[in-house]
Amino acid sequence: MLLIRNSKIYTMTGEVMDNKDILIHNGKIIAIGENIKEEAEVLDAEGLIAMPGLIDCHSHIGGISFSRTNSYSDINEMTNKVTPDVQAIYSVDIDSKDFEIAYENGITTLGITPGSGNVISGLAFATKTYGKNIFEMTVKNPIALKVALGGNPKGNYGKRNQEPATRMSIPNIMKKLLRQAEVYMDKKEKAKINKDRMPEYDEKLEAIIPVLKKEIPLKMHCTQFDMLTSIEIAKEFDLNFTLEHAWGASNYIEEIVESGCGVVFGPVGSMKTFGESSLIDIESVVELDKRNVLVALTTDAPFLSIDSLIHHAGEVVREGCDIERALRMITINPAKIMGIEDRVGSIEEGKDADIVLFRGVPAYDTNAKVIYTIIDGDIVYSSNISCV
Amino acid sequence: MLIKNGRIHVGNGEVLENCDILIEDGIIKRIGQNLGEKNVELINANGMEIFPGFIDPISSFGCIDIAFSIKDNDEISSPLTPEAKIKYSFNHDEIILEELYKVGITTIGAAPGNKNIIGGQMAVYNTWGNNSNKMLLKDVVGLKGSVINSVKETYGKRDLCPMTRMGIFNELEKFIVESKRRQVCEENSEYYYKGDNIAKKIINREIPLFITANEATEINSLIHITRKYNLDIIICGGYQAHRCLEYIKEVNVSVIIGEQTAYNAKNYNNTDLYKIAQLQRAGNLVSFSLTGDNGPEGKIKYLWNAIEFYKAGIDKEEVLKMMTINPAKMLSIDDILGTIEEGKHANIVIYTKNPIEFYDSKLIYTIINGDLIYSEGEKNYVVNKKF
Repeated sequence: MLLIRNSKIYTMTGEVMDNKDILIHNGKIIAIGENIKEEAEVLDAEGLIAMPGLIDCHSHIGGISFSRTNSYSDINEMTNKVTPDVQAIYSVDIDSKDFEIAYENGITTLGITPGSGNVISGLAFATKTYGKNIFEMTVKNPIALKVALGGNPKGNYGKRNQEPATRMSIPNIMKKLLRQAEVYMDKKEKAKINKDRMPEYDEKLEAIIPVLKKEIPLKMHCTQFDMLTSIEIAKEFDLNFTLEHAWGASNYIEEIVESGCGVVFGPVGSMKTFGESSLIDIESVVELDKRNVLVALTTDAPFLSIDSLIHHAGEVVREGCDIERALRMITINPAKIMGIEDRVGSIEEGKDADIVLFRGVPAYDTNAKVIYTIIDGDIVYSSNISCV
Repeated sequence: MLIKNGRIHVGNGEVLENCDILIEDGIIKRIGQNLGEKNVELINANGMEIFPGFIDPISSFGCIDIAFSIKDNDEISSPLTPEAKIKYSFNHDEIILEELYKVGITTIGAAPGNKNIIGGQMAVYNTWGNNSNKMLLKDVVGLKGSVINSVKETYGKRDLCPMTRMGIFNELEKFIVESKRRQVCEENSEYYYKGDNIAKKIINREIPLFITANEATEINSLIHITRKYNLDIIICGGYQAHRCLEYIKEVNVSVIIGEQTAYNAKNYNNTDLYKIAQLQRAGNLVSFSLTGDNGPEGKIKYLWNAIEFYKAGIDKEEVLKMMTINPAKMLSIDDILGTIEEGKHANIVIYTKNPIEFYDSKLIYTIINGDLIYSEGEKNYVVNKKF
């Protein structure tokens, strides 16, 4: 048992609580309260802030690395523009330094997704950031089917004089596949009565079925006006979906609100150019949040360092968002987007004991420091600074 | 223009409480308490934090031609192009697109990129003005080069020298030797070397060489060669500078740390910002830039990079020096910029709070050459006022 004493708790689902204790047993939070009396290893957190472990639901950590000594790129299976059946989990190198950087900076859960090189890119999954075996660390697989609009798939295949060479054909490729999957699903349903009618097994269409059944969402890589295309496709097939990156969202607030989708915004800090990065408007998430859109922030790590997640939340605060609301965008909101909010994303009894203790207010004090990171009840990182 | 009652961060470490700044003809005329002046544009800075305009010492903003596939900041036809001037690539419409003044960057050292061993001549520009001539503060402030992988990738791939680090440093040394020889035999046309005018300035230490070197081995080799010929160099990128501190102190070179978050540059190099910042105590100049290995990053990261130093334990006024007076010294414009002092150009930014300390700080005003060019809350202020 582990008892965290006297921290100020940002629960991320309810009010901020002062001077409360958190009791952890078997990797779960079993009690939150005042002066909990229990025989346990005690962590004195007086003056510290307790947060649920931070979450980035859109990253490529372990799948791609720019390290000079160990670089690899395993997130885009660009041999076919349609690869719904490939799984990001098989690309992840657990030895990537990025995992260490993540938990040392308080990030305890990641969504890891295929890249945007293909129109239908593959399956994303959710994992903890500490452990020895990715399959044991995994919280949920799959969490979403990643698809991509815009310059990335167009650039890769257009160069080869293949489809899609333009934005015109990207939605057609998606719609055709979704329609095929609908027919396939229907045939399978009918074959329940007459087994002779069972269609030939198709692994690509099989991977689409959970999307059509709304068991997982589409993770739609898009920026600027590609957002409208995304919304149109998802509406036509009545799918759950999130807009990923969503640069330029402030021009589409009404459409986003009306569609009911989630938004995973970021990364910010790219140079302003024309086209896709003509407007990188993190201020849009403040408005989206006000209008009850589920908003999360992403660093797209390791394209940006994973520890810049806190800078992203800080920028949302700079745009006038309440600190607590901004912190939700890197905790409970991404947990909800990945469908794992029953386990992570907030400090509540019954949830996984993924807790970060900060000195200073994260996303407000720029030098707020992670003092402890706890994952599944184990202290996986502690800074050298003494707690007292 | 009169700025009333602000908290002035001079830029040299000093902080003046409740002070006024009087600006006339683009110059800071007086700094003091209770300055009274009639018929002036009044800015109430009560409770606000005033800084000298921030300076990014190496930047390709404005010099890239982002809409065109062939870029304007790397003359990749030859690895040694000392005669190339960044001035001719500088497009004021392109730099204004990024709106650097919205985070408080008022001045940049415009520089060629990282693909040539010697890429060309740098110039200093303000980040706002009606045309590039009006934005230009000083031409030929340094010669920009690079010894990182980008050079090998550019030429080695074409089976041209340099294909290796051996090639890079050999070519660099040859360039220096040729320049020196030209210096000695000035009248002898046999030793004509292209770009010799700038080369002479380098040999005479009139201007520094800004060389991008990231890894310890690159930094050490660079220092080894430049020390041999007694050159004034500034290391750019420098992600592993913490591993060469003794050598760096010994030759008293300056360091400009490259952008830290993109492609995880800082983390993959284990860059120790605290140790690097300690160089300031030894008298070396330290600064940082929005430019990393792969060109410039977006403006907001300028603040993040400052924060990374602060987070590493560096005093906030020391961090501010890296953003103001240090880059001004590197670009030899410290006589006109880099601090808020009487007689200097009025490049001034006003924040609600110190952005090095707090994320909820907001930039309220940016003043360049005494002109209020950006005012928070008034959208498109610049466009309305000047264009």
